[in-house]
This record gives sequence, C-alpha cells and structure tokens, in this order.
Amino acid sequence: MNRRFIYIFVILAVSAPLLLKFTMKPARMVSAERSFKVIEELPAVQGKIVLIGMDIGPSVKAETVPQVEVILEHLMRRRIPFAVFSLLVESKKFLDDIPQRIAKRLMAEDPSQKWQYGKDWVNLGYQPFANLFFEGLSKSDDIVAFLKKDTFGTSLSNISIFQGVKKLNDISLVLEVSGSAVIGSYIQFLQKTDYRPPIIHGCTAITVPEAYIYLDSGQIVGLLEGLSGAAWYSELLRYKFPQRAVDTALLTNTALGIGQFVVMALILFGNILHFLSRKRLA
Amino acid sequence: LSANAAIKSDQEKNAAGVPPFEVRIEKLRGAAEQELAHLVVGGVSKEIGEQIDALLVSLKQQTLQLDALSNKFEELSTSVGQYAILESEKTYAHKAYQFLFDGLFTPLSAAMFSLLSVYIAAAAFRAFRIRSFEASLMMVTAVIVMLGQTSFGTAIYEGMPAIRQWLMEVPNSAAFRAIRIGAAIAGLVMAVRVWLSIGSEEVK
Repeated sequence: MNRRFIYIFVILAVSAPLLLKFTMKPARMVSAERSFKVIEELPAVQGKIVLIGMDIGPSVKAETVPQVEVILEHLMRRRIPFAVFSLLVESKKFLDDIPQRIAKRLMAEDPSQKWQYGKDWVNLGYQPFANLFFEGLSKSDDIVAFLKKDTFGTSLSNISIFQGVKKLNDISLVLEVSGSAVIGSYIQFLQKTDYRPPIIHGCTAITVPEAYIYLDSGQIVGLLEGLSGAAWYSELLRYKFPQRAVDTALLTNTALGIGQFVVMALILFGNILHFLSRKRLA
Repeated sequence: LSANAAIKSDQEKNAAGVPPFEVRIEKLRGAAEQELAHLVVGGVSKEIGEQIDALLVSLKQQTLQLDALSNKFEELSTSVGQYAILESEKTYAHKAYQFLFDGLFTPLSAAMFSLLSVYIAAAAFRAFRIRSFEASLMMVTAVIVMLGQTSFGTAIYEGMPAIRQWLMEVPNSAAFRAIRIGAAIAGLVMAVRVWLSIGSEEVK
C-alpha cells in the first residue's frame, strides 16, 4: 500500500472527531482515579498551598495541557489555592494562560462565583536549576522570603494566599506535569526528614512505563497517563459537576482513540497481506 | 516573752482607756471585712468589671476593624496582581512574544511531534509482522495496552482497562525497575573504572 494513503487515513481519523466535536466515553484509568481522590480529600485551609510544576513545552501541548486543565479546574472548584511554576522557560505562556482560561470558563458557568489572581492562584514563573530550587525550597524556614516575588514582580508577602505559608510542610500537594523524566528531581529533592509532600505526576504516554515504578513504590500518589488519564479525570469531574461542559481532554482523547484504532487496523491489514504473500510464495 | 510583755503593756494602756488587744484586732478584722466586701461586691470590682467590659467592646471593635482591613488587604493584593497582568499584557514586547509564540513556536513544535503519528502508523503497517513467538507476544501486549486506554477497548470487552492496568503494574514495572537498577549499577562501575583509571592502559 502506498504510504500516502496511510497518511491520509491517519489524518482523517484524527481530524474528523475534532472537526465534528464528536466524543466517546474514555476508558477507566485507576491511576487517574487515585489522583482525583487525593485532590478530593485535600483540605481547603488558609496557610496551605498546592504547588504545580508545569514543565511543558508546545511540542507536548496536546497531551499535557488537558492534564493541567482538569487538575486546575478541580482545585479551583474546591477553592484550594495553588501556585504555578515551571522548570522550562518555554512554559511561560502556559503559566500565564491556563489558570486564567479555567477561571474565565468557571465564571461563565457560574457568574455568581469569582476566581481571581492572587486570591486563588499565583504565578511564580520560570524557576531555573531544578535541584537547587527544590533543595532551597525544602530547607527554607520562610518560603515567602525564599521565593520573594511572583512573575509580575509583586512581593509574595502582599499576596493573600501566601499568608501563613512558612515551610515545606505548608505545601499540601505537588503536581508535576511534563513530557520528560524530570519527576526524578521532584521525588529526590522536594523533601525534608520529617515531611514529603504527596506528588501527583502527569506525563506523556511515552513516559508512562517509567512513571509506573514511582506509583508502585508510593513515591507518587497519583498519575495521569497521557491524554487518556486527563480524559478519565475529566469524566470524573463531569460525574461530580454535571453542569460542566465538554472540554478538550474528552475531544482529543476521542480523536487519539480513533487514531490508535486505525493503527491497529493497519497492523492487522499488514499482517494479512504478509500472510497472503507468504502463502503465495510457498 | 515579747508576747507577754505586749499583753502586759496593753493591760496597762487599757487602764488609761486603750481597748484590749483582742478587741482592737476584732475591730480591725471587722473593718477589713467591710473593706473587702466593698471591694468584692460593689465599688472597685464593679469599676474594674466596667473597665474590662469596655476593653472587651473596644477589642471587639478592633477585631472587626482588623477583619475589614484584612479583607481590604486581600482585595488590594488581588487588584495588584490583576493590574500587573493587565500592564504586562499591554506592552509591545508581550504582544510580539505572544504573536511569535502562538504563531510560530507552538505550531512548529506541535507539527514536529505530530509527525510521529503518521510515521508510527506507516512503520507499524510495514514492520509489525508476526514472524516469531516473541513478535506475536509483543504485538498482542501492544494491542491490549492500546485497546485498554481507548473507548473501543471498553466497548469490545469491559475488563480491557483492568488487563492493561495489570500489564503496566506488574510486567512493565518489573522490567523498568530492572533496567533502572542495571543502568545505575553500570554507571557506578563505570565511575569506579574512571576513578581508578582501570582500562586506561589499553586506550594508550
């Protein structure tokens, strides 16, 4: 078969659901359910904060942005304050845009509610030298003094969600989303002798096999496995908040599922052709 | 002895019109009790109570003022944050950055990664052949894992995600852990070889 036909098949299979806004119920992901449960049981108290590492670039946007979106949405709906940062400089735009986009969507859904920068989330921007940053954060007795300012130059002492946040113990959860194996730095350095914040990891499908060893050992408490994990998390949010509209996670996961189905069909077709040609030769 | 002397002195003074010691003590006790009653029931205690009440009212007012101040502070900090966002969005540098990021960097990076899907499909069609038992095992596992994470898998068989989960948790984790431990030991061995200059003679 001419490979141009294969390309056309794949392009049509992936783009048709996106253009037609066609969605299917995603497959159940146990690791995503564990992540959902962790956030669901997280107490929303002053002086505690969730740290979100968006170590994502535009190349892995399709898989990782839906993961960040569903988690941020869940945190915002539960009114749990969070701070976003990134170890990658190209993530800056995602740090700026994603929380604002989610806040706007939630406010459109329920105009009586308000989500605001400084009150619900803070953008800490790009943080260089991952290991040193985590080590400093873990050893610091005054996190606000250590981090000093947000990405816009506002002193963190003037931002209300940091009131009462002093040490690593006040970080109630860490979420790390990346397309690479940067999770090792979080696990290794973001801890003290008496405390290690629970970590949820979101990764691309290609790094899922490696991420499973951390889930199995308990070093991470939850895992979002590529787009499928985000889609199942989105489905769980829909169960809890029925008024919630269909998001990109469900849409792109459907497209991906159909794409994978086409790949499987091509493998099967290729093997049939191979079997027939062998038979003919014999 | 001194007590006796005091009693004798009292008795002598009594003769001159001074009341006896016991009587004076009794009078003093009565006066003290009256003073005490005044302190406890009325007078000073009431004043202190009033002062405490006033203090409490003042404290309550101050707490309310502090709460209001804290709310104002929160509003101010939010406004500062929002203002910072708006200001940063107004600059030409930000607009140019947005344009280049959205218009160039994102689509090009995404396109590079998207090429994988078409190449994987073409490669799978051409190369994924059942030629041996190992190849068959690999293909069956790959198909189960792929089906287990898509909607089609659940439609075909309800327990497909559970089988996938088992494959990921047990054989996959075991294999990956072995790879990681092997790589770590190999790294250690190489470090020791470099450290002790083992094998440098052969290079020379």
